[in-house]
Amino acid sequence: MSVAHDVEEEHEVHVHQEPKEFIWKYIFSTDHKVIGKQYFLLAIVAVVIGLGLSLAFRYHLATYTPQGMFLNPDHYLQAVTMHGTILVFMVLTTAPLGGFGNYFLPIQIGAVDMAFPRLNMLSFWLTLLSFLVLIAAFVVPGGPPVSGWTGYPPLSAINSATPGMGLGQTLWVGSIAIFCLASLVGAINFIVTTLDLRARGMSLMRMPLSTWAWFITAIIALLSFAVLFAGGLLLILDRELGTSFYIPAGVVFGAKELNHKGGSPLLYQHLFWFFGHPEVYIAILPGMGIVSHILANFARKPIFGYNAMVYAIAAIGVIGFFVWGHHMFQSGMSPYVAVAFSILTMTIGVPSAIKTFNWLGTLWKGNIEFTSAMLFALGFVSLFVSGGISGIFLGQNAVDIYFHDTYFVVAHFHLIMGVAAMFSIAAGTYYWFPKMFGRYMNEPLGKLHFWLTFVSVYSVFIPMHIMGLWGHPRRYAGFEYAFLNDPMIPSMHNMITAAAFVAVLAQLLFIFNYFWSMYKGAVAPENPWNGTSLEWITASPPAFDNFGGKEPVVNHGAYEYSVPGAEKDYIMQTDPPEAAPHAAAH
Amino acid sequence: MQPLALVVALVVLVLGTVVPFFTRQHLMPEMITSHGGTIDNQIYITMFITGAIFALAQFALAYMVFRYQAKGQKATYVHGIWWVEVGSIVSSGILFIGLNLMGQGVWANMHLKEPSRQATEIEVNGQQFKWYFRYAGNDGIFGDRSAKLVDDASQNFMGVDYENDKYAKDDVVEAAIKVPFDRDVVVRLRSRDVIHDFFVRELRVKNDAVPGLEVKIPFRVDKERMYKFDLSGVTAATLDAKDVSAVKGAFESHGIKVTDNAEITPIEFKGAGGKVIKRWEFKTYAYSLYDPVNKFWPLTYSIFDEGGVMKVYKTGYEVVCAELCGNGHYTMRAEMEVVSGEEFDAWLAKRSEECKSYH
Repeated sequence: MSVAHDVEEEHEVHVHQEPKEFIWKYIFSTDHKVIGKQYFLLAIVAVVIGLGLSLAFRYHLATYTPQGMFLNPDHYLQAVTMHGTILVFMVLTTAPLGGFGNYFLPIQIGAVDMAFPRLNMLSFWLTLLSFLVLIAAFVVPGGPPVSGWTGYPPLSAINSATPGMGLGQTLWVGSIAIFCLASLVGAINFIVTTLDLRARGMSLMRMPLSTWAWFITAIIALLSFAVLFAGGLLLILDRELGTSFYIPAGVVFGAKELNHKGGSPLLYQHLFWFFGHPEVYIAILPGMGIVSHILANFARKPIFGYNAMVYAIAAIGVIGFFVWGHHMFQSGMSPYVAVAFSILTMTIGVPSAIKTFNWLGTLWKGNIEFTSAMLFALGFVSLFVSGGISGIFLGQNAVDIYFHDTYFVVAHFHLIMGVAAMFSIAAGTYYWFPKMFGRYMNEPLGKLHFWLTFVSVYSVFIPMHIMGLWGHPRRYAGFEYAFLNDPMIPSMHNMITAAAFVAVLAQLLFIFNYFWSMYKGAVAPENPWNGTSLEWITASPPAFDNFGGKEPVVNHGAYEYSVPGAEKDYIMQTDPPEAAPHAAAH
Repeated sequence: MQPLALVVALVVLVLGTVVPFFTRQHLMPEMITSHGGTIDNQIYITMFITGAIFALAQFALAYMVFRYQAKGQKATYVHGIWWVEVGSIVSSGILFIGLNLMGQGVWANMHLKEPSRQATEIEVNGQQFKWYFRYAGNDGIFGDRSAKLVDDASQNFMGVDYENDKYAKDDVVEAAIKVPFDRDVVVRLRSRDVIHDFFVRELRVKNDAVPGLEVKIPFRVDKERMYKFDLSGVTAATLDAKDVSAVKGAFESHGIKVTDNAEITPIEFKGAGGKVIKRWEFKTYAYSLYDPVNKFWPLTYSIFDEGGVMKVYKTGYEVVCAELCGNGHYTMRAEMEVVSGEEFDAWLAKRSEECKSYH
């Protein structure tokens, strides 16, 4: 059978020269791979600070006495606020999208770089600036804010509301605003790159699911961060210029009425959650893509229902913009609107269920290899199920009456958005490290990292669900509530704290493995996992222009594993069509 | 080794999570309102359905991991099975949306129905880090209020216009909330500074108190849901004598620890037509695990003489704040006492007169 007319040959491409000076090569680089590593490094620094804060407030809760608190109530809330802010913005948004997305999206579509390399650099440096502004809140008088990562006004809008609401809160809002700009610039770049720079033959439906996920995530980021930016700007105006976007008339502090009128605290909540809920998908969608990619690779199987997976990612991206009100069921918002938001929230469970089902389908009749990357991908599936299940409670307006702002909510969003996303980051790191650095990460350490993390995170968050069932409110620095003096409560807090320490220590193991393996890891070949997508056709690490002056031409789908009649158990995307005539249609 | 370990971990996860839930050892606290049962039912139905999905999905993952671990076999080349994929979409859609629609009746009853005109209205005011509760007084009309009149020094925490509004003079403001049972109640939630959240676990009521907004939340406490047990062999005379030892055994046999400073207080009001309304309040204390010397909370029960049978009801509850409101957020609590409608009326009439004479 002749398929010569389908065969497209690789062509040489011309790109700008690789800079030689250290400062342009490693600091102010426009190379997407360097920028990806910079994002990743930033995320590592941020995660150490963020998790360190969580240990501080967990230790506080485990050792709490009114006379001898490890943290005073201000410091407790400051730690909680900065933990949430750092983890959500500087880790869960930067590592999966800014880190992996930057490094691998251009390579997976066969591009030599991002569409706008200078904008890409600008995006990173704005993100770093945002991080530094946020961290500066630790050293200003009054310290960081106490208003939680959601920063609801009037608490966040009034300097005198409580200690820490002065310059620290202003820096917090400023940091978020800068972060929004960085994300907008980055998102535009991802979208244009995906649409315009795909290699020949790389149709949209041949893109790896990881690329699809980064692409849709970028669209979500573009639409949602713009709204958060507006929300943050109005908050700064209320704080610094005395406007009243969020502060209504009749607000009293220190027994004096403030000079504000006409604002609405709910306006901020609408703007915040219009961003805030899609942010969940900004954190988790890249993880879904990465995990899909890894599951297929190590199960040696095509993705089960590739088209359905693509449509599910897109559906999550779309529906994710219509469900923000479920964070506000008890906020005083119209109860009629709550009904609509609740039903729409349930619909988003459908594409999530499809994804879970298709991950299991991908494993079905596979030939599963248990590398560290695969273990974390499997752990992700388990955590995604667990975290998703508790979302079915909270998405129901009637049920949320009881669970709102309890530990049940904390457990839910940590499992689905925090821990599951972290598992996908770990999976992606073990998987792509050989490509990024030309060396393997240490596998026994990786497996130890997995087991310590898997057991400890469940030990942290399953008990929190139970505490939520008992009605334990979140963000409590102490236990001035009769039922919180049930002996079961401190036992649970102690157990959770012990498990949290194990979980965080396990991440130190991961960070050690990361840096140690950069220099001491076993040398990896070009395609260490026998993968099919374009990152595996290039050198490890890739050349400055990604493909050594060649433009790849794509002839196959991204997941052609175990193709009947093929010589190997995988067909690379650039293999000629005759390598697997059975699979060429995909 | 890895697949087996993962299977064990997933099985332990499922059993460790599902079994405690289904043995009902770690479920919801007691519930005393008419609507609360429907919320609890919705939670239990959701728990049952999602528990089953959770177990099935985790077991399926464990099965795939164990059954298809690499042993030299060749994986099956399959891109999907259309009817399985469509089936998963349809079934999950029906399940999730159906579950949600089942719960809408609960929501509609609480939030979409106009509260009864006869309902007892109580204004709940949140401020850092206290709750205050206002009752309309004998005239049944809440007086005007203004933020300009707020004066903590003279204990006008809500800025009630006692000077100029005749309806305000008999308004009653308290730091604890008193609620009548077997009667419709509406709380009008307000805040004077930041967002707070009115939460009473046993009422299954939770809603934000937002500055600039007034949110009405209706509920009805059912006396029968507060019932604990009968006190046999105890008479009114024993209780009038405040003899704690006479009831200690009964309380402790029902799991209620009776502390040394527990006390019985006869409560008596004259109701309409001079009718005597009487109960005996029994207070024991929950000492703080963290500061057992200085910190304790009353656990309040009431004993009612019902046709010669002494029945014990739990009548003391806690209001807390569930929305982050500042550094004292965790200390923002108030006591809630549930009393009979007759006693509530008599108490309010008395307090209203006292307040009127004061203002």
